[in-house]
Amino acid sequence: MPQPYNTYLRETLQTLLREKELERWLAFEESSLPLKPRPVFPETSEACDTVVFNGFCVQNLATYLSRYKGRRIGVLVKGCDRRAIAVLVEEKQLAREDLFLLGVPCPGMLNRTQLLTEFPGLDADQIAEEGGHLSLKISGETRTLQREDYLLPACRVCHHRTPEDVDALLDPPPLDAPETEESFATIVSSVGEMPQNDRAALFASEFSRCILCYACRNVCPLCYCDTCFTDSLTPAWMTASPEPGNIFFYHVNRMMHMAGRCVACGSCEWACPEHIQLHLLFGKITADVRDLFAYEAGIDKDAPQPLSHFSEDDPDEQIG
Amino acid sequence: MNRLAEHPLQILDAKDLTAFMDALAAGFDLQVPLVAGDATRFGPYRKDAPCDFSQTPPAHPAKTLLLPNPEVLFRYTKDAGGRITLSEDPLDADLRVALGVRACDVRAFEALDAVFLRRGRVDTAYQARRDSLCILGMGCVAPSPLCFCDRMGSHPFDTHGMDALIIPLTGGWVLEALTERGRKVLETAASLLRAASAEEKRQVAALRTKGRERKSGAPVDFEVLAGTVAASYKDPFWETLATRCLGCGICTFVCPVCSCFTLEDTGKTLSGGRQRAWDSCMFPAFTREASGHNPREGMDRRLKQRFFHKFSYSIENGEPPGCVGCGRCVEKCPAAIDIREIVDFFSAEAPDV
Amino acid sequence: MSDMNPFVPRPMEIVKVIDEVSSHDILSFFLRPVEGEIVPYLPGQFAALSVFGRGEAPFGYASSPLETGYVRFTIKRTGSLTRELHRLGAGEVIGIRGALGNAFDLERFRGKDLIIVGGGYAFTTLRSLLVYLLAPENRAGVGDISLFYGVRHPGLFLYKAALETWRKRKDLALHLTVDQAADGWHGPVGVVPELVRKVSPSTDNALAVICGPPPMIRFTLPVLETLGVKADDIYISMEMKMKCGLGVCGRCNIGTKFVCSDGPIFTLKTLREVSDDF
Repeated sequence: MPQPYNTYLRETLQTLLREKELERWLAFEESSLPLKPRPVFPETSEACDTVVFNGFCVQNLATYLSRYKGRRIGVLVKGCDRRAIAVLVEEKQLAREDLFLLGVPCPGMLNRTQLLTEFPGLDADQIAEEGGHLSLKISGETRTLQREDYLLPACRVCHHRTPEDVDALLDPPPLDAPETEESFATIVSSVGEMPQNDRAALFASEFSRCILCYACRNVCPLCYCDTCFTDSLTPAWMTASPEPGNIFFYHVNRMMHMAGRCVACGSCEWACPEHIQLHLLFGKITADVRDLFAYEAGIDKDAPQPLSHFSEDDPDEQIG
Repeated sequence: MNRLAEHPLQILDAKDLTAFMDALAAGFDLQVPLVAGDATRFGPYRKDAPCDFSQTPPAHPAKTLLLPNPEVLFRYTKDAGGRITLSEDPLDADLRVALGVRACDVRAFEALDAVFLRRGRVDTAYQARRDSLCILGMGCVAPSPLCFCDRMGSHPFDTHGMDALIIPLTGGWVLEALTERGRKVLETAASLLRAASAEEKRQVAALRTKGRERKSGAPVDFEVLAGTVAASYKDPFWETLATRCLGCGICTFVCPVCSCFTLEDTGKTLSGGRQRAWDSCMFPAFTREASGHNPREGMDRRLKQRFFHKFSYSIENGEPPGCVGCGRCVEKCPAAIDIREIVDFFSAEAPDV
Repeated sequence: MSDMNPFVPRPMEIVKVIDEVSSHDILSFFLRPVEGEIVPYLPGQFAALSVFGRGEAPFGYASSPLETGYVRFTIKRTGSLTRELHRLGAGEVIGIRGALGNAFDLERFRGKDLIIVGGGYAFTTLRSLLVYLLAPENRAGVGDISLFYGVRHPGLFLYKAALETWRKRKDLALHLTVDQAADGWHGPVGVVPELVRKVSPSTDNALAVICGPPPMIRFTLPVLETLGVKADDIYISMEMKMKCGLGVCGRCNIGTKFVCSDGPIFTLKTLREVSDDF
């Protein structure tokens, strides 16, 4: 992201912090690692001076809001952060009026691992995000890449990049990066069309790497239960060891709990130390909910959540 | 361990690597860094399972060789009369050969020894595995930019605790037996090895010098660090760190030193077992009591536990420090919590530096 | 079976189970080894009890080593393991690992007056200590004993028969209290720290022993210190979640100490040295 944009962003945060009497912002700053900005929670105008926004600000900031319940907080929101907040408000975990939401039209987040694998040692100042492409300066030469080719899986299929119903929207957007033509159907069909044995083998292989660190759960803005089923002692649903039974049980149950709630931000897959392709699971769940109920979490704000809503007119005889 | 007085350098040509591993696997339980996804983790060598010695260090720590996750501690059966019979699996006493373990992980073994072999009672299963492990370590020709073993009292070619050292060159591996056990293991593949040439010896010496001179930052004075960390319980530093921490278990699971565990029963009333599984001090459930009370309910308390244990309690108890500078947690933490920043913050002489 | 593996329990047969309180959620289990002798133990120590297939948890010995032929554990139903334990009866077999942890420093108790403060279910460890100290061969070894014991309501007192016997003894000052007034209760109503403050036992030559829920401990400590008991003379039986009992699994770490292997009994002085929470 060009430096002037960060200056504009910081000035906006500083003005709003003062004018809207915010306790603090939730935003991003650079970390000690290349291409891995970290959340920052500036409380003063001065502290806003480190804030940045770029194509690596993947983490869904709504996750942190449960720590600031009832306080006047400003949040820099991408489309998916906004959607997560909408679900949290709907589930009465947050009060909308406590929050000041500054929307940033999201250009789609980039795949750090993919870039670092292809270009080892790549640093933040070697990469320039320019519209639909990336310019890399490597040993004096400039390489141009198509941004679309380096988007995270969740961002490839996202069509809600610009947050709606925000208190202010950054204008102009940081980048004018076109969306892809892909949709969740692309993900689902890629897996769904596999022979069943291959699909089973794919998930067995992906999950064989799971270490049950629960980063996917903890980074998820919508996994906010005080005691997760994984930690329940009475009854103890599962044990701690990363054995296939525990791992499948955990992921499948979390997937079920996310049906109709997942906002497809991709934070879980991004946080996974093993890069397990969680988007294959959550893409399927998201696509199913959309196909069966014509519902998208955090978008269809007036419709009740399909899986936590009971209707006597439900066409499914199994219900009730 | 019987350290050899002289260690001649031998060469394994790159083309013979598979034959070399086959030869070792024929005689021993050979453990190598296996490829899983974009990571490597130690596991038994198989001809059809790809291994990769280039990841520096392997993404998963070598503690898996000593602390399998899970690990059965005993089994039980109950007969119709209600009589309980307990049994243990045989100890892993046959020589196992670990190929490609890095100096950081070997240093970490010493910290694990302090937990499992000295404090309280000796853990018999751990001891059996430790005693039977022959470590063919590997020097780090290209340390990751996140590695900082040189700051933690080691260096990329540290041979401490190894039975042999491997130094990868472009054309193959240089092997240097350091102990009698290491020499005997390498001898099983003697037909594949040849003496190093003068040029190869020169290359090795140059690599060693370069490795020893690596300076990723100022060396850590653990006494100073232990003191400043111990005095920092009320320092707002921890709360600031806690605002960002997600409380997942990545850092503890990829840490070669972290060894906290839980005990869990598997099976049913009539038969089953009790096993040890890795646990994490970052999880609230780790210390939550059945009553619901939790002495480490807050994230800041759990973070402090982790880092006080690593840098204060262990030092005060005369044990090795809880960090060897492998950089794995730095690489993997989703919230970009960087243990080097913690070390720097508390190593600074004045608190406001 | 090797005797070396510290994680392997010994089978114990349940000899007898008794219901201790009106809420019926605290039972005493009397156990004897299926084979061999009872492993020696002292008041203050604990053991890990196993229900095979369900797990293991630590419990303080409620019996005194002077009671022979069995060991006794008083166990409250709080989670899945204790619920399973409560379903078991005489003749069934569970596992035991122990004795684990340290014991009360009985050498240091010699010739001292003792202020013993207990609350709720944690009183079980104090029963072991009191039965030991009140035995004819040991009673002369210590001076005056003041016992403070509080529960939420009268039905929740453990070891009611023993309390009745102790009430009649001249060499023990028994002070019971309940949090809530109740029919038939004529004793004091209020929390334990308040009662200690009101009674104000002499502290000239006294050591104090505290065993109870964390809030009771937190509020009793300043009372004892105000009365003049030094931090080095206050013994606290710490409760913390434990698994291994060997100082290895990491859970019960307080500073440089492990509650399960360095404790569970610590002086307040030690706790202040190792932890910033006291």
